[in-house]
Amino acid sequence: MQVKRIDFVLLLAVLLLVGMGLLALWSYLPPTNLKNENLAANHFMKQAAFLGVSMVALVLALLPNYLHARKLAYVPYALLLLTLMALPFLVKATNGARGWIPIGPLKFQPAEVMKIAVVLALGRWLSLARNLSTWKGLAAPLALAGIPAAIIFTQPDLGNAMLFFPVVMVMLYTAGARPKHLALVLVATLVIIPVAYRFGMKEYQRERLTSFLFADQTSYQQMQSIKASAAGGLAGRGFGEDGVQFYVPERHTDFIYSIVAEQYGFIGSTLLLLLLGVIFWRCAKIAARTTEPFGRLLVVGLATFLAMQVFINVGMNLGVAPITGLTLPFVSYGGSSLLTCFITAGLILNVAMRWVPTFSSRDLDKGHREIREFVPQAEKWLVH
Amino acid sequence: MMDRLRVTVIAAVFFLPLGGLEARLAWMQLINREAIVGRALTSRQHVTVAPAARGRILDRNGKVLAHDERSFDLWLVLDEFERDAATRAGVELIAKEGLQEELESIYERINCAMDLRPDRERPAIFRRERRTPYLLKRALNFEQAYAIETAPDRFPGCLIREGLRRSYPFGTAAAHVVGYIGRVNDVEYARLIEQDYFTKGFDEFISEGDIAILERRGAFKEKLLGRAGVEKSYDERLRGRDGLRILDRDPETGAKSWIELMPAVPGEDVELAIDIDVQRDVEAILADAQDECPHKIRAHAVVLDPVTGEIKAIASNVGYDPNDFIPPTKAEKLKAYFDDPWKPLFAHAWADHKQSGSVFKVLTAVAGLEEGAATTSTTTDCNGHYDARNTGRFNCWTVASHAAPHGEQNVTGALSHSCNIFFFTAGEKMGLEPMWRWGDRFGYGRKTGIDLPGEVPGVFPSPDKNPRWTRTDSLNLAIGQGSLTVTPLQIAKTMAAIANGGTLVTPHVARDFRMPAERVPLAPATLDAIRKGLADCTHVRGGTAYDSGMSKFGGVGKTGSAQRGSDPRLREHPQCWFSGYFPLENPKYVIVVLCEEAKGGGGHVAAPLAGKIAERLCR
Repeated sequence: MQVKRIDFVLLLAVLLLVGMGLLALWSYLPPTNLKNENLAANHFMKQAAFLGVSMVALVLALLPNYLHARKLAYVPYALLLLTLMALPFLVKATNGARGWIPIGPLKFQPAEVMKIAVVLALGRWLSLARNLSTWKGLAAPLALAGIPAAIIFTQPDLGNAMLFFPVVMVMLYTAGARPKHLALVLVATLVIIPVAYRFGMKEYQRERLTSFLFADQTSYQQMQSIKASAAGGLAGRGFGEDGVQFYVPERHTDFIYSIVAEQYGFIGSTLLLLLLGVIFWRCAKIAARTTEPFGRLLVVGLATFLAMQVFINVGMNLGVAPITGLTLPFVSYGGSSLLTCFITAGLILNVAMRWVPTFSSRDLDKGHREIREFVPQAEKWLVH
Repeated sequence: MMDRLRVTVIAAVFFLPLGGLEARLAWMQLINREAIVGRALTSRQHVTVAPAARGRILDRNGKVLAHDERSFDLWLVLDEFERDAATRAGVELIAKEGLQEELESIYERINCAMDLRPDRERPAIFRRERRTPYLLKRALNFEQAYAIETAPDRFPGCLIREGLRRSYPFGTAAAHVVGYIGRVNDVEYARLIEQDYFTKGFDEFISEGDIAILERRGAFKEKLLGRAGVEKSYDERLRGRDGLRILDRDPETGAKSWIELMPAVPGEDVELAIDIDVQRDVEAILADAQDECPHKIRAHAVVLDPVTGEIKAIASNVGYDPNDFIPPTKAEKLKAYFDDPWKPLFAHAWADHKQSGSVFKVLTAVAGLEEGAATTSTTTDCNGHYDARNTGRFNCWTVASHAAPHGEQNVTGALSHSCNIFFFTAGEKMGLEPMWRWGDRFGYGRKTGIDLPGEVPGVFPSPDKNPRWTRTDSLNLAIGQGSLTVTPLQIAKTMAAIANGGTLVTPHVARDFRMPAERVPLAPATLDAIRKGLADCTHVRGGTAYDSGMSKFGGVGKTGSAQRGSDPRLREHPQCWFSGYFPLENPKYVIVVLCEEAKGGGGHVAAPLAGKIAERLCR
């Protein structure tokens, strides 16, 4: 392994995003508890500690060749599926929602890690499947993603559950399924949703959806977030006039983007979106050049999870998406979320690092930069 | 079939929403900023608690025993109040006592709020808090509120706000059952805050930090908790759940508006089995209770439905007015309650245990007949003395009262005449173990499980609790004397089982209380013999309760006069019991009466009271 082959642009973008998150946690006007301790400072220190753990996880996800992960792809999937199914019996519902497992002082959220496990399992299945252009071939991958999504939906964690659908669609598309088939699946799903709304949803989930669909019912939380974000203006309010910040419930987790928007204005929040854009761009590049199917599918799947979460979270901060309880990757406060994002980043960097160029003579004629870089190395290997 | 083109397509599709979000951001922050933020920039918002109304307590006919009524509270704005001394005189007319203390506590709260902020903000906070209304006095009467409302210039800085105040329309009636509520004390407060008792559900709407701010502002310091009776045992149902509101205040105009963040859920009503009219009449009957001297005595009564276990009335002739416990309380009134030697705050009917005496013989009879130690035809010859081992110490009650001995007795006669000798014989023959087993089965020494707080189990003696157990203890147990103590509820439970044919009900006051009743299979012969004995007691001349008046209503029963010790004064003032039911066929009511330390015995003191209660119930 060569350190040089790490995609430093991607890594730098990730670290800058985490930095912006910490900055937001530090600067948001702190509530204090009964003993007059600053809770925000507490959040900052905790998040810094989570960051340390997550860095270790990133390195661990980077070290072994990702192709080893293909061999064992179904193992974490099976284990987490069992955990998810056992969850109602293991722990009582906290806050009436979301499956948390308390481990000592920490809380572990199996649904978060399940996202990675599903991408691994789907990656293996799709890279080996030969009948993806038929209807029959689509059933297994859809079930592979649908079963955990259904369990997570009943937890109830609407936000995380609805991420699985775009991910499986994008991965199927990448793996070569017919666009016509995928379009039909999409239409079918759109028909099912109203039925699920009527029979499958909890009252508060319906409320969230309707509060989004009918703008005049926008919830207080979102209304405050919109006002706070808009108040940032071009350069942000800094610490605000006479230290008053907007009150947004649960601001350090789901609504952290509104802190950035309020404090650092259009400039800061655009920078944050740009950094996320850089991540997507690097992922697209890595996926495009990786011809090994498992690696490509892995990058595409993981990147889709990140992207969907970004769209929904920023969207709900700016009032164009319903409140779903999804975090902003790399930025939001929270150990489970940060850890998952760093493992994701580690796996993407892993694929990028193990890239072995395969090229045709036409590529050589065109003189791609990668080939120019790679040929001297290959010669060196040949010598030894 | 995986091609590069598809990856490119996906990437392109994903950059579209990112661009859309950027456009939205620009529109919000650069183009339309003023319109979105509007005046909100200059307004301050904070979260306050929206109190939930406590549920009502109703009697079985829907009469209201406790409810929250609207009250007028006096709030003070310091800045205006302290502008001139004349206002102070006006307020002193209304809230004279404790005014200075209240003002000091308001200043203390302002200081607390200031201490938490940086120095440079303090003057601004002080100015702001002096313009903020603080609660000065609860529950003004209508005239006072009217005076302040109509003459605002005489009372500057005074505001009248409507609040909720607990009220008990029937006052002292059924006070022990209804109970009262009281302000949370500091120890409880710390514990309940820890348990999120006051802030249940808040965390879904506001952050941990904001909950802490509410706590620090003292939003829950004035909360009232159930302290006794149904108010305590059904507190969870009655109290409902507080909600949250956001107060939007514009510092320039002073205009205020509310936003409902989390609606308060009012508490549920609790419907009792108590009939408040019967309860009041029973209390009136007990109020006249006297012994033969005559002295005023403490008396208690339980009226129970033997089939369902519902309590129709449970009364003592000592009690209190729960309205006296609602803040603002008057210290001297509470002190009077605490110092009263009659202990009116104590729910004697279930929170106190007394020596049972002969009412317990019903259980000895059940055990003896069921265990085969006696049959309905077994007889014992009572000559006044029980001389199984020639000790000469165990006598029938006839000896002390210089009456003729009972002579030949079977179980029916022994119950109606309350013959000790018969029960000594049966008890000794049966042995201690069955006695103990039957007593345990009928719930002696254990709580009955009534849905009221403070119930005591009483003492059911047994050799494993008392290592120095002697034959005297065994013989005493057979006639309900000695260290045995019981609550009127336990006696009522046993009598209900005789009346309904062997079902051990759980006495309860709430109508929707559900508890599986335990069934004890009693032989029909046993029941017949005991019921006949109880009937003879009230119907046949010579029965201990013959002149109680119970027989007019088909009432049957058993009397008891429990000695409290060997001292002559204690001997002369026993615990006087009557336990019975009526009518004879398909019994509808079990009545237990206990008169404490009354001269004259159960037949003369307690049984006539039961007769009067039966008369009232038949009306």
